[in-house]
Amino acid sequence: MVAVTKVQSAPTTVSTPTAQKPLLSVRNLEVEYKTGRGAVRAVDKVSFEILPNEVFGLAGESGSGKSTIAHAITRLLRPPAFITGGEIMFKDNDLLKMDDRTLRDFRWRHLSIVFQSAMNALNPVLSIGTQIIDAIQAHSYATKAEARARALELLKVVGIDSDRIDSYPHQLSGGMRQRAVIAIALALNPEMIILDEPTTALDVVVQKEIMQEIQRLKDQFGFSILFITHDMSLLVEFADRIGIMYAGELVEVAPAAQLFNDPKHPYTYKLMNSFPTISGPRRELSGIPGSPPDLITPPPGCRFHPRCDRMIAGKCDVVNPPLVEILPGRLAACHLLEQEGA
Amino acid sequence: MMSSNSQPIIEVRNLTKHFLTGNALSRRVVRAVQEVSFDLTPGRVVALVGESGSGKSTTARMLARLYEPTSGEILYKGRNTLKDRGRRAMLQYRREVQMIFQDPFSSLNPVHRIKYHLERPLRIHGKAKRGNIQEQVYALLDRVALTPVEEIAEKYPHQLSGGQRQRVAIARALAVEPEVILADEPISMLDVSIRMGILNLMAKLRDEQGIAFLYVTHDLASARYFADETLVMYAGHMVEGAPSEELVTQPQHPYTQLLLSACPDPAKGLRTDTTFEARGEVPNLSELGVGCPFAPRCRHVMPRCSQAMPPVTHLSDTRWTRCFLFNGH
Repeated sequence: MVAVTKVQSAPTTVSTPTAQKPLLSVRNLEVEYKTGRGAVRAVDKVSFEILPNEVFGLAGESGSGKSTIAHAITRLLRPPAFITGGEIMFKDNDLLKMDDRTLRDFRWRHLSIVFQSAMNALNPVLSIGTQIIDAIQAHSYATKAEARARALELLKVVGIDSDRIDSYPHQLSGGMRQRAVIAIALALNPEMIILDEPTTALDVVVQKEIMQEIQRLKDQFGFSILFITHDMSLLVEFADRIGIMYAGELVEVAPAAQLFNDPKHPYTYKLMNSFPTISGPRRELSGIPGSPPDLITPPPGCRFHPRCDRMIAGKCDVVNPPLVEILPGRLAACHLLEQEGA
Repeated sequence: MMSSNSQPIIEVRNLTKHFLTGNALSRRVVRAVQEVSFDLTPGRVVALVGESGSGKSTTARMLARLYEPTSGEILYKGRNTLKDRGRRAMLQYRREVQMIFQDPFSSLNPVHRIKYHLERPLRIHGKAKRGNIQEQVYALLDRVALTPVEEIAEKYPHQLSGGQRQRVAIARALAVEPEVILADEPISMLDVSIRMGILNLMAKLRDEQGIAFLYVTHDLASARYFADETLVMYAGHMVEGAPSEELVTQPQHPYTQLLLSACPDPAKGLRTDTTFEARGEVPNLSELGVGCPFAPRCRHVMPRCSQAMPPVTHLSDTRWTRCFLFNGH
């Protein structure tokens, strides 16, 4: 296993985000939900990049905008949600400027997505084989026989016995169905897969099997992953770099281990002290008092300041700090960190 | 910990629940919980850990008297509560043993204000003191740190966040001054940043009021944090019990070891982790044989594992497991 990985890993060393040309680059993305009570800015000027063969994790509480970003990247947002600004570049293509036809061709071939409880999105009256073949034929010129051969190969790749190809979704366990959905996402060898809470509905043993499978497939095929979850333990374990969302904004970006061991933004710091772990010292954890703000009337200045115990009066409640580089490879949006840097 | 020497308030003995499914032509018995025994003690938290379908919620619901057990005993203060008949005894048990559910979005009535949810148990269980029921409601909200109490009392459930709603559910349980609280996955639907607030609140109630807790969870890390003792369930059987810290540092039963190796751990990377080896899936509960249910997945499986369920082996004063590896030297 190890030897195979070594042979196939790229000769490049991913050291800093600037060393390689990004595969996906999101710049100043803004998404609004138009509601009866006014416009909700669910995603506010979010920028990040994902490199080839990188796992980029997005974490945040419910309503922080992380899933909205996934939907925006795949242009699957439906009214009342609208992209109101920014650009999403996939290599040299602006996804937001693509016409529907090009977009349809582009999705799945270059970029695919696995949703939360996607296993329940399988059509109950079609066998999983038929559904994989459909996905292949909708996005390529493969004949039925070629598509079926590919479907068999894909099932093997995600660890499902090939004789299950004619099984219907109800004949498979939750973990197997989620594997089948991952097989569909892999069908056309995309360069990037978005995993939006892919294992949230599954038990830990099955979750671990699937995450190891995804890791193995990534090592084998070299795609990038945008991994969205609220499970911080899983994210720190799996991702290369992590972006932390709060109330629609990206507040910190850092390599996973650094983010866990040395979080810089007060919100990240508190978040990392909000969940118990199964190893290491057992210590008192506090969580974060209060709740995330209502995005119809977000607080002025930094959106975290009402819950922050290091808030600077007259500054944090007035000026919203921008996301800036505070150390090589590390970004944060906090007035305290700007001061430390100066 | 403070009263670990005190008498158990609830003693569960060989509790079993079988569900009948299917129709007249094909009766199937789902063996959800089989011969489960444990104690709940004032001032202590016992965690029931397992995957979905392991029987942990069914066990909690039998203790809440929401399901009638197929066999076994629930001794409450030494009396078999399953033999209690009559409204008075039932009401007393239901008052003293309260339950908190997983989903705070569906456990509160959306058409009623928060104060209604707290006034009702006070009235039904005769705890309302004439004239000052409002003060009692405010005091309850204050105990679960929902302030300003006057404002919260007038709100509707949809105006509160998930964490606040779960606090209301705890306040409602506290209204009747319970001795036991059964908490069924109380934090799993909440955001990470507010989970610890709920667990810490419950830990405070354990320490300050000596309430006995049963904490049902799928999350070993939170059981380690909150529970004094952790019991592991697999396919309806209780397979291991130990002080929570010992369980995660020295798991003995092969299933506990598998479960632990599957838990995400930020301290170790997924890629470098070679300890995890899953084999097969959880068995169908209506097709279980007589042996250990984990045998088909166990890497230490022996011929006799499929012939009978291993008996309890005591490993120390506080630890036990059900596995032939530790039995029959």
